[in-house]
Amino acid sequence: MLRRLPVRSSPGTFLAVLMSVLMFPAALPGSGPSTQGEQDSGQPAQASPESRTDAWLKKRQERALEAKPRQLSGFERRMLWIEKGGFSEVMNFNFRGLYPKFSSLSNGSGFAPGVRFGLSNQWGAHLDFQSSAALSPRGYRRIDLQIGRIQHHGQAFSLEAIGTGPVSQFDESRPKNAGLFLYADLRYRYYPQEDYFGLGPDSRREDRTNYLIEDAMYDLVNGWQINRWVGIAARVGAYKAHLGRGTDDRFPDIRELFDDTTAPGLDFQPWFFHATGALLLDNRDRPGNPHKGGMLGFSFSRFEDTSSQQFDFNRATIDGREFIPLGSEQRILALRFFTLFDAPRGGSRIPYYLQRTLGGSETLRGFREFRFMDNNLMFLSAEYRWEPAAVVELALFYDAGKAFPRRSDFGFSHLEHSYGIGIRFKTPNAVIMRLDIGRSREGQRLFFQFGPSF
Amino acid sequence: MKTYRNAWIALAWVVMLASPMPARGQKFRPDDPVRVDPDQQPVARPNPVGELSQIVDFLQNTFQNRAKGAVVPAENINTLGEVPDSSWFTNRTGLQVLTIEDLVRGPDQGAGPDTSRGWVIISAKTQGVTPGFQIRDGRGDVYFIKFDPLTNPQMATSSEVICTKLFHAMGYNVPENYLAFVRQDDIRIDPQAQVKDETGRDRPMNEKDVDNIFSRVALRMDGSVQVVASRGLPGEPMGPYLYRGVRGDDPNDIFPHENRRELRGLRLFAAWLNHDDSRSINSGTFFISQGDKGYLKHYLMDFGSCLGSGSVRIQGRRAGYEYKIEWTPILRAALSLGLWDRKWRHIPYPDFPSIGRFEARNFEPELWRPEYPNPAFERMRNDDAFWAVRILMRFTDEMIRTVVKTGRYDDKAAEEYLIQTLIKRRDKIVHHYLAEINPLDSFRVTDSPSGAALAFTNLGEQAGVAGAGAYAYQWFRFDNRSEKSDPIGAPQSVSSASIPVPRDDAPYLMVRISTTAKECPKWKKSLDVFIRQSPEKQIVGIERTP
Repeated sequence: MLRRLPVRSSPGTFLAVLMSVLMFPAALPGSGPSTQGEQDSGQPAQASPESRTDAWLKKRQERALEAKPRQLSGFERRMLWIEKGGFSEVMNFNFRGLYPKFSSLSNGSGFAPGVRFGLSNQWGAHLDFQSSAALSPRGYRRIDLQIGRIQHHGQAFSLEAIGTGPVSQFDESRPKNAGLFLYADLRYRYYPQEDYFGLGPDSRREDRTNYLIEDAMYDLVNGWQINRWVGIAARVGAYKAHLGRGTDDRFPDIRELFDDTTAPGLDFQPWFFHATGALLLDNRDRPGNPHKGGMLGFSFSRFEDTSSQQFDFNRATIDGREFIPLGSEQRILALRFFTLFDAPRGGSRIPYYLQRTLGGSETLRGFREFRFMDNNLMFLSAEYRWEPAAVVELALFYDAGKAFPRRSDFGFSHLEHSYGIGIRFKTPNAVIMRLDIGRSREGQRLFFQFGPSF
Repeated sequence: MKTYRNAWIALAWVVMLASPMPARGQKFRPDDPVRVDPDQQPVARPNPVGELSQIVDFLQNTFQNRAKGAVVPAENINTLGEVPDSSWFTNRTGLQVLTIEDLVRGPDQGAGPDTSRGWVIISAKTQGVTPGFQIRDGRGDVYFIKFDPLTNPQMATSSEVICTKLFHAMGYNVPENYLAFVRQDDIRIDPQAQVKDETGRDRPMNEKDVDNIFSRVALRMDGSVQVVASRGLPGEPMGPYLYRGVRGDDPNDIFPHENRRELRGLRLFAAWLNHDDSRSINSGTFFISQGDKGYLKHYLMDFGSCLGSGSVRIQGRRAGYEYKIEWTPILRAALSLGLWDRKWRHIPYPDFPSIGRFEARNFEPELWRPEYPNPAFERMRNDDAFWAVRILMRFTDEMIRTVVKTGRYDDKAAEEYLIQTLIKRRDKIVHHYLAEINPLDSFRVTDSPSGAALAFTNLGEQAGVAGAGAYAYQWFRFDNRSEKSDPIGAPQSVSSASIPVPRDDAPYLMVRISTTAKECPKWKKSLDVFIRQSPEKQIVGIERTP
């Protein structure tokens, strides 16, 4: 590097050379550990040959000229920020307990930003309070409020008699801890573009309509997670819905194709009193990313029409899942069986807006959301899952199911089928996101979802 | 202005000419073989790098810094292929005899934390999977305290202490890690102690936090807890070092880290001890101040994920067998619909909670892998491996037995299993790599009435890898400037480990040796030994065909 001096001979450079020489006094002639002369190869003696130590010291002098502190790239700075908890801080950003919330309210609602307010272990007791509100650009609105001893992480076992499942926390990703919970659960929804295709297995895709539902639920939830494997819960409360004209202009309003006969409850929506009891047995190894074990949930609900007795009914639900390793945890056969029976009492009917549906990202994946509904449902799903890497899972899936009016129609005939392939990205304890492509007689559907299929 | 500039240039030339002239084309320098790399020259204090992004390190080493094509030889070695003492490495075992007392003492300068007067917590980490805290002991010394996971008493702490002593004996700089036993009652909280809450904000620590930590760690029968107490390192922390490139603001750092022999050879030691977490995040650089200047000293740190321990849990099955992302097995598994399966998923392990997952039967040293590619490990050549194997061979069964006992395992069957596993893994490494290269070593010139001879040791034979049939050799006169060699006589062969040195006046002699062994064809690879004849015969160079 010294040979470069004449080329870079600015005073600054030269001063740097001098400084580096001073910095490495051992490199000065005669001061190194070994600079003894040597006569090699029978050649006449030349200038004192440089020792190895001197050569290395000289290299260090050269580097001293070019020394520059390590600069983190923008990407590296951002990654460091994430690793040091910055991401978590953003996700936990709040103003006096007020958190931003980002979610989707319903299929087709679009992205719905909102706020959440939560306080834990307040007032010197095990009393929690949480509330959230969200609004989507398509006009979907939802407000939730829970107060009491709410299940925290690992204790989740709530019942949702109306909505997505009989025991809605089946997919809780952590093992459940023993504990009691008791809380009031209040909810208001305004969903202006819900789809309706008609009742029964013969409903037609062409009959897609939409409607507005505005409802409120006032429930009390009590449960006991006895141990990691067994939990029981009860939910009682009141429910009231109001139906209106759908705001999705692409499809007709429900009243243009259906009436109160073909869409029970369309003309009149009473107040309901409802009560539900449930039992959950769960021995999955990792609930959020199961590789072996299974779970079984039972629930029984009673809905009472408090004003007209037109819509009194009972509902029984069974949800079973089994995860079978096929000689290795790399290969799993995941099975699900779900069935639901609604039993109207004394000539009553089941309001269509309280009926469970098939189709969409979790049931018949080759069909559109809300595609099939009726008094009874049956659904089977089998997934062959294999993990090329710890964080990636591929799956071949087959779904079959049907909605049927009479319990006597229960059986494996006249099932709707869909099949497909999926890719999932996971942590050891949870499925973070999945992309499933399902195919059926009605075409192909693509689903991008957070969380597992089951 | 121009006059001044010319004056500067002239002065620069004077300084340059006053420096010793480099000897052009000289293979051996007067001070070869050097025993010390003077990389502790006082330099200005660099900027602390701070923390390293694990994500970036993972991405860069997985996708960007992979070894491609021919790998250059290690650069920081002397002409014998040894690693000189430096701020990275000190020859403790390779070039000298390490006693069992030295091995057991390891880096320890004292007896560990004083437990007689209780400990005061000065900071803590209660969130996440790794609880731990920093304490001040009765003498006022500060230690970092780490625990075992609830289900595996002694696993992480004992393995940390054992591996600390072994890595130290190998020659690396490591922290002082002590086993200690403490009861919760003996711990107090400093009023200034802070912990991070769930959102990462600091708040004052309280008794509940200590309860929380002790509820998640393994208790002994007597109610005490075994911990590892790591003493703070001297100097100012300057962040971890990378296993690639050089540190831009450290003029002493002239050898790209991926070409440092002690970092390449570390692969074998890491494989032996299953140190799958051997990556930059577990290294440390400390500025040792000397007045207003100083130098950087380089450490290996954190051996909690060694042997069968995964630090906060039992070691994962993949550890040591596959990188986090490795395309071949991923594609095989993906395209075969999962029918192709990894062998490591099915390896049986004995049920020793204090050991975790560690075994020797399925261990294949050449296939061992850390968590993700390490640029230095990937560039390890057979000559680098030979250097490491020579060190590894110094660890006798007795030494291994003694060092494992410093882990103070309560389960004696587990202790014996660990000893035997380490012995078997050591033997597997030694056998594999000694078969890959001509394993002659310990060259020395002996004099006898019949003339001088070059004696050596066949490490392969010594380790029982194979028996040598013969040693074919050819002597040369060697020109140190032109690096040309001129044969002396005809090629010859001997059956013993001693080759007669020809009478010749050349300043340098070179002998090229290849070893014939039926079971080890790779011993035929040539090995050149250089002898400087004046003032007395001295081995100055050894070059091995990798």
